[in-house]
Formats: sequence, C-alpha cells, structure tokens
Amino acid sequence: MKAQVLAVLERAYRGALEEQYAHVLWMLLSLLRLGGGIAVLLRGNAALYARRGQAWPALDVAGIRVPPPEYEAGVAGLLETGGSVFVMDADLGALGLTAPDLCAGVTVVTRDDVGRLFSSYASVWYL
Amino acid sequence: MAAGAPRAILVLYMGAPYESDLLATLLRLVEAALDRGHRLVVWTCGGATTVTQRTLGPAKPRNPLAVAQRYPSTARLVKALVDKGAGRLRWYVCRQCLEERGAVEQMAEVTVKAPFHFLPCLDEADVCLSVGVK
Repeated sequence: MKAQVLAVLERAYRGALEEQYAHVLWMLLSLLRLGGGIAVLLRGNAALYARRGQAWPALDVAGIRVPPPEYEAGVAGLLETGGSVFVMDADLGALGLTAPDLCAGVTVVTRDDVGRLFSSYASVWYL
Repeated sequence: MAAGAPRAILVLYMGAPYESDLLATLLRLVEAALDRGHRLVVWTCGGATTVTQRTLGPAKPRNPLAVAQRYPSTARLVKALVDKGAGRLRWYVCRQCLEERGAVEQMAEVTVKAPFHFLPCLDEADVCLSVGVK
C-alpha cells in the first residue's frame, strides 16, 4: 500500500532546548506508530539528520542534564517502523556527504525524482 | 579595565526559542560568564519572553515514546542559572512583549520590566551582546 503522506523537511536544528525529544522526526514517528503512512524527504541542512554515526554531546546547564535531540534515532525509527526516508543528492553534495555516509535504508533521490515522488503520495506536507 | 576582570554584561535575547539553537547558545554563554565571575543581565524580548513562564513547570510533558525519561523545561534551566548566579544574574522580561504573547505568568526568579528600562540597563553594562532578532 502506498504511503499517504510525504513530509518535506528543509529547516534543521530548531532548538535543542526547546525540542529535546519533541522534534519533527519524533512527531512523524509518533504518527507512523499510530498507523499513518509516513515518508520523509530531507532537503537542505535537514539532510544531516540522516547521517550515520552522529555524535550526541551531552548538554548540561547549571548541573542539569538536557537530553539532546536524537535525529539519527528518529530516522532509524521511521525506517524500522515501515516509513521511508529520502534525501536529495544535491543537498548531500553541498554538505560534503555521499550515500555511504547515511543511515542504512535511506534512499538518495535527484531533483528529477521529486515530481514523481510527490505524485506517489496523497498528501505532501512542508514541515 | 584589566583583561579578565569581572564585567557587567548585558545580553539581549530576542526571537522564538523554537526557531534555532540560540537559546542553547545563550544559556551556555551565560553559565560560562558566571563561571568567570562576571555579572549579567539577560533582557528577553519577543518570543524569548515565553521561556520563563511559570506555567511551564520544571519539566517538559512526558515523552510518550520514552515515558521514563524526564526533560527539563526552559524555565527550570533559567531558574538553575539564576540560583547558580547567587545575585550575579538578573533575568528581565519585557512587559510589552510578554503581554503581546499572553505570557503574563512569569516565574518568581525573573523580573518583568517596562521596555524603556532597557536603556538604563545598557548604560550600566560594560559589554552588550545581542542574540537573535525579534
């Protein structure tokens, strides 16, 4: 069955303290676990969310540990739960990344693929 | 003034906390300055007035995907810094901005100020940093 929603993410790193766990990939994973069909297209700096082996430096403020957003786990969770994750190749190139730098299961697409990708989903959300 | 001597630092923090990592940068900067003995005033405008709302409580809502994990609220982090400062950190919240956003219930550790009080704060500061835009 084709997925219902393609979420396009371009803006990355929207505030570690504000988000902590509640980042956009977490929201999409929550919807996916509730039964929604979810796919994600990462563009711009958001392509970094799919990078494999991201470091998670601890953040402490006045002795209080702040759990950092775990974007890689969000991408992995989407894939493990039946979602799809796409990344634009041009954005990877701009960031100095290639396909082997990405989490297993992430699909690299070109600009020419985007129209076909959009038409494969009932809804396209720009988040 | 000798290099490294304690200074009075004014930090103007504007903008919404959900748009970027400015708030993380600000809190780290404030703590580092406190650790070096400086005195600080943080003046918040715009969406930044929402991070110290009393109604936020000490923690963010539970994460349904990891219910055992606890996450501190921005209000708790600011309170911890004010406590750590022991009088060397004052956190001011612009009345005009907070009223515009309905963020009228502010926590006890901050002070609500009329906008025109910003100028005296600027006069008293050795250094002024502006973080973000409204």
